[in-house]
Amino acid sequence: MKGQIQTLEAIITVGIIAGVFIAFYSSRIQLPESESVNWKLSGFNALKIIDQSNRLRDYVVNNNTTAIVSELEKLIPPTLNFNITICEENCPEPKIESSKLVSVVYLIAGDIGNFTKRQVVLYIWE
Amino acid sequence: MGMKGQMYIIAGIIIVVVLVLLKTSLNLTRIIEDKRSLEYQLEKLEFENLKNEEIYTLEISYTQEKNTSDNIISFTRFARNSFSSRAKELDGVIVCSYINNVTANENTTLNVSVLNILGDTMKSLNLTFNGSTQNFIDVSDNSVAKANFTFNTSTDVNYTLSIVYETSYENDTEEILIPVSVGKSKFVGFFDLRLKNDIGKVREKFTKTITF
Repeated sequence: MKGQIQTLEAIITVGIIAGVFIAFYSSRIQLPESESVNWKLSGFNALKIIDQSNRLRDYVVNNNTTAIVSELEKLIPPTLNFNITICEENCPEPKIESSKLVSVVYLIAGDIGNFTKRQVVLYIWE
Repeated sequence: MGMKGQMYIIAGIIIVVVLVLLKTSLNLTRIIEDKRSLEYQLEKLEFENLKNEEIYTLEISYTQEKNTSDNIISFTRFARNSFSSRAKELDGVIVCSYINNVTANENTTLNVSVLNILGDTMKSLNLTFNGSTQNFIDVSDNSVAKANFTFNTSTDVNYTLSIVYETSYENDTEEILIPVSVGKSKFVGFFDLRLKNDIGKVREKFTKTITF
């Protein structure tokens, strides 16, 4: 009889632990991921660096995406893929297949003596 | 020996307490705050980009003096649309003041353009310069109110342009310094810009003066 009670108590203990474990850990908590924001910050800062060197305006006004990509390659972590689009009002949707794609937009008002409104859209994905 | 079962229960309770402590130590609030802080940092960078380009628009338009106001208004509308497509709201007021070549002791005109991008109609807008006031009623969002004022000076002098407006949610008064130099043209741009999204709001007022 004593042995049966001890077994019952052990079962209750296991039940309590299992119950708490299931209650707290079974539901997958969606942790907010900061990775995509970090990609955006990295991309925006990269464009800002090129702008501060006074080259971005010239590239944008002349629609020279190759030069911008070449400069970005030195500034964006090599583990990330990226692409840019230069557009005025309506920017085309990118044809990029990725479950995790972010974008940042850098505004440019033109260059000396040449007022030209442009958006530089930088897409980043893994 | 008779306590063996109860020991299991005590051990079980201790394990449960440890599990709960582990769970609560995973500070979700902190993680969420860190992410919001990064997003706000990005918003501030975007605002800085906007501010720099507004000022740059003013600077690169000096070769086309009379188009400076149009260029600033055009760029602001363009930027507003760009932010809007990214679920961000750019609101504010922009005042463009232009004086074309001041001649001593002759009447000179100050052209003022006020762009309302407050996201609401200005129920009233009053502009006062050199003792003269012009009133506007129902200046709708995204529209421009234009006024001309006249002054006459023999020397360099600082005037003040006063702006008083009222919308359904705010009343505001701005005093803008208009420095007048004989023999020169001037452009004074006043910007009160607010960029907001679900993360927060960045607002800054700044003035930029260009002498031609």
